[in-house]
Amino acid sequence: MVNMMKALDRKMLRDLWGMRGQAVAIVFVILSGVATYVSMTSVMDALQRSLDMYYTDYRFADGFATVRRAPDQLIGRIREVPGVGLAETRVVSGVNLEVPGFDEPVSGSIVSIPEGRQPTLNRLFIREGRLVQLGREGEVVLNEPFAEAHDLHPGDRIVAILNGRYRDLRVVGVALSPEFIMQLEPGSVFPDPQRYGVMWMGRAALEAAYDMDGAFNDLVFTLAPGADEDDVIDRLDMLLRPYGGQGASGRSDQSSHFFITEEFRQLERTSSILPVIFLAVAAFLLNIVITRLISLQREQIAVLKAF
Amino acid sequence: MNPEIVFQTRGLTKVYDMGEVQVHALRGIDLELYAGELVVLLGASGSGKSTLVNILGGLDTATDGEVFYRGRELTRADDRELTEYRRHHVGFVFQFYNLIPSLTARENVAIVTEIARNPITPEEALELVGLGDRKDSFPAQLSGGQQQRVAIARAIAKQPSVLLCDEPTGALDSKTGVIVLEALERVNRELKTTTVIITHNAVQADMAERIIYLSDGLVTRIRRNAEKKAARDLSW
Repeated sequence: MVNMMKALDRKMLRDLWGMRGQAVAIVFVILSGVATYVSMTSVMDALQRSLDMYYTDYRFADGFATVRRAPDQLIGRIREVPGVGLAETRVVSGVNLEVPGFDEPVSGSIVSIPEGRQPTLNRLFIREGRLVQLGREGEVVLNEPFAEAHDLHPGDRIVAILNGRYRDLRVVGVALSPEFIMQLEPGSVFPDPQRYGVMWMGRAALEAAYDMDGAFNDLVFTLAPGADEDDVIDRLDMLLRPYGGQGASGRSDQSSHFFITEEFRQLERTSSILPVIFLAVAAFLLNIVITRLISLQREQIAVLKAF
Repeated sequence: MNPEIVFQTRGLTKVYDMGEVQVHALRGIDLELYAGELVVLLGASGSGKSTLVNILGGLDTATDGEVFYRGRELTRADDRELTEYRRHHVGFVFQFYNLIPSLTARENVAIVTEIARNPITPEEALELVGLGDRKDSFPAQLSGGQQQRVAIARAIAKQPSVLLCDEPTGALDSKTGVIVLEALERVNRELKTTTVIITHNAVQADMAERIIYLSDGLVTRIRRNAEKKAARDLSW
């Protein structure tokens, strides 16, 4: 087979061997570009799929609404709004915390969950311990980044100021939630798990602490298949306005989801820019090598043309 | 019987436009070259020898006038036709061998035989120039004379009708030059290839059948050798 090789092919192979260092370098740069593209694209794909699965499995809500105070009975009318799938009311409040061993002020959000069971939407993935139980006051489940930042585990205690009163809370579980993948304090740009934490508490206990018996101040809902999000939000806003509704919003405006979407977008941008940089460098190097080769072999090319 | 005319030129003119000046390399050349003859083009540097041979070989185009190769007008041919013409009918030998350094002698010849229509083998071509035993040597392992003989083998391997040699001994000493001329003489004799040798060395004219003298872009004289000398009897 080797003898069948054409003389020009042999010339090419020998010339290539003669500049193998440069050739290998260029191939390496091209391969790096392609590998970066392939790996980043597959990472993007895997991350997006994991996120979608996480959202689906833990029933991440499609929409969110905040009111000042609305009666629990309103849930019936909320569920009747065309386009609303599942809906669940909650009590959510900002809270100041005192964490043992940490002198700086810590703030947080405290979100109600039904005692003894998972919420219908925005379910928790229990990493340690358990959910809060019915009839046991003062139990909380901490969001994992906050718990990790302060090395808190089930059995530990923290102090919270709920509605102006000191409350001694017992950590019973550490959990993750699709709602707080990025635990962002309202108004902040970056997560700071040491100074801001999310925790979940039994609905009855929280209602009692905030004088919200038989009422709610937060609503999460999913959209029925084919529903128009803007339309549903408009209808909910109308329904919630008398109760101090502050405007419902879709998932795209939810802070954790927004942050993650932005991160993904940046990753996507990087994954398309990096390979281009690698390939541009390779093209530049190739251009230099080939231009040099042509000028060095100009006479050989001329002779080949003469034949 | 009249010998077949291979090349015929009429009023061949070549002007190089160098911007402000125009260089008249050929000023109206009329000549004929015959099949199988060995012709020496003799003239000083700048007399137009190389320009004439380049136009005959299809490497360059004329500004004016006509060139016919076996009745076919080269002056009307486009690039593709000229490439085709060079590939199948013309062999070139240049002053500076221009071998490809990364290929052996055999492979340098094979470059041409691989694309030729009716070639002899690279081995046969190298035998013909007396380099049968150096087939696998790279140019850097060969002397100047040997490299020029590889260039001749490369030029004749496709069995061209014409062999155009531009100062083939220009870069060689007299002894080596004679060996190269012997190779050209043998090719001319055995393959009946019309051979044109450009030189400014008047001694080499003795091996030709006809000598065409060029001066300042014009043919000043054409002389036929009453008795041509063998290349090995030349010295300068």
